Amino acid sequence: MTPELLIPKLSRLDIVHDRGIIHVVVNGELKLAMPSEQAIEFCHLLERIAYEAQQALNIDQARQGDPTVYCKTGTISLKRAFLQRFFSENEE
Amino acid sequence: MAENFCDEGLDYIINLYVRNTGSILATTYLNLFTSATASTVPGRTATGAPTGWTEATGTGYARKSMASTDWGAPATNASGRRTVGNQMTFATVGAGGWGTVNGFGHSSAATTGTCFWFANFDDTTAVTLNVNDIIKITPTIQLDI
Repeated sequence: MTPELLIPKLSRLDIVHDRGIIHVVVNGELKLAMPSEQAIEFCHLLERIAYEAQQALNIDQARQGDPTVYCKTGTISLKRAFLQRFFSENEE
Repeated sequence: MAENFCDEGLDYIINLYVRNTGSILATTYLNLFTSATASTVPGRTATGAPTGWTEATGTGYARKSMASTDWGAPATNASGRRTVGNQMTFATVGAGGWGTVNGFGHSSAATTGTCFWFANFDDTTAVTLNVNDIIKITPTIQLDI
């Protein structure tokens, strides 16, 4: 089962408990029905998936944030600046 | 590699030197520009407003202050005299980055103010600053005859 199959475009979610059975109704359509004990186990599984997904996301974000230190030098030379301006303003 | 004194930067020198106007600055500021290219700089009419150039922006960006004591004593170099500044470390780049930086300039104030000059990096290589990056710049001013 993929999340897309269970929750195509979630705009309304109803979870109904009826005589020991959990019904998951998405957008008015019954998507899942299972005994309560099984539903609890399923939710624990989802919690584990959510935890692992968050850990993976945190690692990715930390990796993207690895810092790079750039050490640069720069020089302003009055003579070079003059020459560059002179030639740029006297180009034909 | 290019460099350029802004007209208002030249005015500042003239005013201070012979016209006794303006003020000696205890603190000046390095800025980062994202306009022009890695081998060209903003034009002579650029000002600290900023007009005529685009300053880096983004989370945590600020011009880096330099105390007057961060500049070394003038010394002979080639046909002129120069002062070398201490290596200055900008703030750590915040979320979203600061863009691609083509060089740096020297301003009189933390915002707006007078822009004295612009220079590319000596290696003529731009730097794309992403989150958590750090840029350190060692500036040199050389006056030749």
